[in-house]
Amino acid sequence: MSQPLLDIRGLAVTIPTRDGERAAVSNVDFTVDRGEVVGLVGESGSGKSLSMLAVMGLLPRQLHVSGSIRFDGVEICGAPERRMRSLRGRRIAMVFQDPMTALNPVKTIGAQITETIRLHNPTLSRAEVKARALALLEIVAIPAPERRFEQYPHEFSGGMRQRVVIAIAIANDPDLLIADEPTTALDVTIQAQIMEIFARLREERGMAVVLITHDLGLVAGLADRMSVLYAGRVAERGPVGPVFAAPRHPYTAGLLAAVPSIDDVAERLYAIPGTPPSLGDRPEACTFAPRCDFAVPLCRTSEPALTRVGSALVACHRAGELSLSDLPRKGT
Amino acid sequence: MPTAAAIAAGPLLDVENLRVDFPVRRGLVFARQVGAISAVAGVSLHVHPGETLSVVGESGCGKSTLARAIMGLITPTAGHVRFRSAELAGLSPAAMRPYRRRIQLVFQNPYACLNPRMTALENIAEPLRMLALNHAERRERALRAMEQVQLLPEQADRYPFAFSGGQRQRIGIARALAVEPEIMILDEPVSALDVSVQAGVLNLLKDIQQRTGIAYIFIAHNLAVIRHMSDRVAVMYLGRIVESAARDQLYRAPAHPYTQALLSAAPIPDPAREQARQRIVLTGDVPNPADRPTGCGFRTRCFRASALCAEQDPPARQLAPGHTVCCHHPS
Repeated sequence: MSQPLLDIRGLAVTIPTRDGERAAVSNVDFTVDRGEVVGLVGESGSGKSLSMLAVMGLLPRQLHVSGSIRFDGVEICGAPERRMRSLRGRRIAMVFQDPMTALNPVKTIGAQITETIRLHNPTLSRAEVKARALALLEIVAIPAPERRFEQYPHEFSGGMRQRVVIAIAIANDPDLLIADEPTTALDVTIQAQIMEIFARLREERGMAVVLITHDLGLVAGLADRMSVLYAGRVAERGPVGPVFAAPRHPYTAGLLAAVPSIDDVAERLYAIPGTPPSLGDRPEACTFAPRCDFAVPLCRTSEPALTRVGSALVACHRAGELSLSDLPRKGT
Repeated sequence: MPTAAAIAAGPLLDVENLRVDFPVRRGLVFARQVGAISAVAGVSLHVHPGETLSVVGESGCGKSTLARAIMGLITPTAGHVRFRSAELAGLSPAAMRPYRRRIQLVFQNPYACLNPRMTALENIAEPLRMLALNHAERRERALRAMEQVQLLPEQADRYPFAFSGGQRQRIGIARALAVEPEIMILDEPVSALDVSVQAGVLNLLKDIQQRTGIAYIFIAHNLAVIRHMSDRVAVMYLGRIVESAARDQLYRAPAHPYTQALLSAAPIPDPAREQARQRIVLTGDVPNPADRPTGCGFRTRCFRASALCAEQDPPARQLAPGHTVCCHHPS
């Protein structure tokens, strides 16, 4: 097998607090192949954004990152800012949730796109840069690009702004696009448009995409593989089909059972008891044990390692023995 | 589900042709009105006791304005809001007060609607001040409401910041429940919550309805959540209800192209089905309500639009008992 485009091993991010260093992300392994879409699923605070910000080298200096992040074979964890700058926007790009804060309100859309192109291609002429910017607006399906080029972000709707942000992100044909909840702030019909753009980028340009989301439906629609994060650790990862069909980690199964279905009606939903632990009181052993319906004493004393079960890797002591297809719809 | 007797007794809430126009003003010193935005452009709906009517629509379709107009928090420009046959539209705040107890509103952001300097119990007990109750009685009712939403009595004296998002939404619901309303309007009650917490709140709302027979108007954009919660569903676009039907009818045989597009755009957490399905992807954005298209409001994004749609606003037509659609080309 060829080497993955992005290869993260043992990634840890710690945050200094009044009570000492707290691990927000610990021991995360994650790989992305060329042209592959990988879903990174988790609830707020699970560490999904932090891990990807670590890849981009965009974490505040107070946070401590350790482990290995290899991009196209080269170690970039702790790389100097100058090296990261030459990668960011050129080979790795990121799209954030809120398109309004990602754009500069006092610059035209055109200026913001051309800026990114020029930064990494100083030899291109003005006309070449503009032609490329217009082509980008067309790729993300913005009607009347010539006219839109001269407009400011406030003249764009939320969905249009997110397209502009994507146009800027793909301006230099990056190998890897990290999309952090790219459609959470958008309506369903607009979300469908954006997801279509991602699917096309992968197909036509072979772009690899990391899709950070809490929406399992989006992962099902676009991703090849997925990683489920819980409280800063990987709970389960594997190919999308088998993980959805037969989740092996009680948390993954719980998430799937907690979402109401659009085409059949269950009287009750499975509700995972409790709430995710805060940074300060994450259990030492299995972080999910306090909320798990299947926990045994072992889960409270030792941390489960990621082990292979079928085609997935699962961090659960009972992964092999549990049948999780029919979770009890009890409790509130 | 409402009982047959409840339906025979007539609707609890009956909204007829409700309009909310917001004036558009120009000029700083001598501001003059240059136009109006119809956020709610003639909405009719009704809710029976014990029933859940859902209103689904995208941002800007007017669903929250509709909720506020029903509550009397915004004065409607025209139309009727009848609660058990009593007209509420246009009532003064003082005349509205007796009805406030009976219709309650729960907001999306459970943090913004709680007073951070009051404890959970004080927050829940606050609306009880409008009833003739003494301190001990208020406390007792607030504790009972806490119990209904499965918060523990020992959490009563904690402040909102000490609660998680899901627990805060439970406090918001308890606060609305404490005054024993007959109908609760829930405006995106779970969309700010994490998936694993959402399910608990939805289950809770269903339990409360089963126990108390309260009616809900459930406003949301997530079609899966709506299917789970509702008896009937109304689809809103650009200030109007474009289709409404009993839940199963709407999901099985949606007739309005917008409803069809919404259903086909909703992500399904099942890779096999996701890959197999044919998606209707609408082009463009929702038009600005200040600049409403002529004829049908949806025609600029519609895949079935014809010349007729630009000329004539489609009237509501009945396809089956209880299933109405505003479209020239329903299917």
